Amino acid sequence: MSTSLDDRLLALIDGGDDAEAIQQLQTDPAARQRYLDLVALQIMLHEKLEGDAAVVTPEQEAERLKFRALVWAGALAAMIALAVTAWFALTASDVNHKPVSVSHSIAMISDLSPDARFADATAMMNLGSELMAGPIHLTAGRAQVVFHSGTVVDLTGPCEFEMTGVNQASLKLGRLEAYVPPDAHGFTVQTPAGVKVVDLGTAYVLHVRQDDVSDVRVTEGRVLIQTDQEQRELAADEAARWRISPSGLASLEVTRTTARQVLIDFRGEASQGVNASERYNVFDPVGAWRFTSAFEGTRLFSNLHDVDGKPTGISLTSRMATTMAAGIAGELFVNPVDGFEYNATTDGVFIKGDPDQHHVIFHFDGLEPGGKYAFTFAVGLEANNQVAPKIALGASTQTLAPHDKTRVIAFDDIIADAQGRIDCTVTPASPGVCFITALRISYQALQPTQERMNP
Amino acid sequence: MAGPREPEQFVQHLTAHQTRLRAFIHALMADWHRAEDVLQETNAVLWRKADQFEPGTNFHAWAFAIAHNQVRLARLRSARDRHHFDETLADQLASEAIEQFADLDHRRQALAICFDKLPKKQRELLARRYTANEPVTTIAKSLRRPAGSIRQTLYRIRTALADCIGRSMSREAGQ
Repeated sequence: MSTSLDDRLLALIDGGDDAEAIQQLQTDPAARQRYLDLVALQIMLHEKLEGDAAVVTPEQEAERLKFRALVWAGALAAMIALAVTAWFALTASDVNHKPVSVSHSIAMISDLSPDARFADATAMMNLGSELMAGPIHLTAGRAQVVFHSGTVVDLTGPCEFEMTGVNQASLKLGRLEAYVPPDAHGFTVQTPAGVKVVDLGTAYVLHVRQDDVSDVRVTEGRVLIQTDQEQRELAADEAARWRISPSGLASLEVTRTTARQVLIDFRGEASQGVNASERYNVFDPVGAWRFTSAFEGTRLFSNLHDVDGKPTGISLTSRMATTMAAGIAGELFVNPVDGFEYNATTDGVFIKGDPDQHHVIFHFDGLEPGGKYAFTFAVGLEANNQVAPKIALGASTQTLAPHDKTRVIAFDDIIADAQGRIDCTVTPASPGVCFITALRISYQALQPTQERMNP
Repeated sequence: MAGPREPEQFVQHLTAHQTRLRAFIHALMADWHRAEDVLQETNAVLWRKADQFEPGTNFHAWAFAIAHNQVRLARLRSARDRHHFDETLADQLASEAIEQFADLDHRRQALAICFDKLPKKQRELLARRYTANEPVTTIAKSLRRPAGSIRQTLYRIRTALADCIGRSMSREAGQ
């Protein structure tokens, strides 16, 4: 091994730039092997000698603590996981028939987003906190509550939620997502103006808005809506929307989408994509990293299937008009995006370039001619990459405000042309890389259902 | 929320693989601070994807694949900066590093022995550079020597250490 090659490689490792050394690395396996040995040495020397330090600079200490914090967080999560299991084993039994007692714990905080904030700062709202009946006022972020009954409730702030019993609650404001296991049937949420949402074994999303319009959308199973005058049963993919006026409930309307939703997960190479791939169309990531030309005229999907796995005839083609690079990236995002499955939002399609210069066109084909569609894009934002996509669809162009936490760009009433086509243009809102992680297409021919449930 | 199936074991894996992952990422990036950032991101992704790891399978390969993706992503994000290595070379180094860095524990033991064999002055110089994190120029000034000469001395020490480790590893392999 010549000394001069070693010197060159060491200079490269120390951050220098040496075209000749790089060329040698490209052509000479022995040079690469030596380079890797020298890198390993560099790291081991750092770790050995930094460890010897009697006096550590604040910077070095911060670096080390970062990893310690991670390991500690991991260990903490592990302890919580064990605690949750034990807690369930001890408490899950016959909860529906237990008398309500306000002095006993009825639920537990099972997850908190890092940005979760509560109105009552003195309350013990930590991961693993046992909760007695009472209010939870979430001003920001997300919190998950597990009832002893097994019911899991995801709250998104701002949200005024109150646990009123072992298997019942009220929602004055905000968004709630409930998963109710068979044993906890009957989980009841009281909303303003006497509208009750009673679970019949299900998963649903309930949204009580500030403007007095509320809705519940059933994702699985069935739900019963009870008002003073009537009750209606909703099945999966049905939604009820109601409005309240100062004098009480003003209107209640049940809707159903005639065509089912189409979900797309742009997953990456090393990712497994969403677990429920029968619900999602999952991009085949083979060779996805060859991103510079991968998107030119590429048919990403032909014949997308709907959430029930039935073919829709809709296809999606991408065209790189003038874009520096585009493709599929893996392992991207830490936070879930509202309204999409967590795993579907951890990888994405990326588009790199400058606004007004670079863009990718997504071309949807096989839609119903003249049909009205809603498109919802899940946007990937990272701590150190806050560039949002700017999406043009129909006559409307939208992007996200910086640090917008919803990370969803939604379009309504987009009408397919006479050939059943819709084009969508995506560009980074500012110079850089933007990401779309998942997409939902819903046919919007909403029709009121005639079914009424016998009380 | 995703989490590992066997958390204690996973934390052990993650801790045991830190040096390897760090070396792997540094080999592909050759930029100290960016590589450290990518290491942190990789750890976060590994933790988040922990439920996808099958206990008993090859953690090393799985973790390196995820680290490789994070390096790619970092390259993508900083497209305007210069890159030391083009993608082909980075991929080549990645595939070779997976094998070469599979066993850094023996190398670390060898380093400890080789380090103790160094003359005292050389050990002191390494300590100033690595432990106290003094820039080469500062060391040179205090020793009243040209910076280039200190840099060369450090190169020679590192080369000697790498050779010593290499000999020790091949002796071990020959046993």
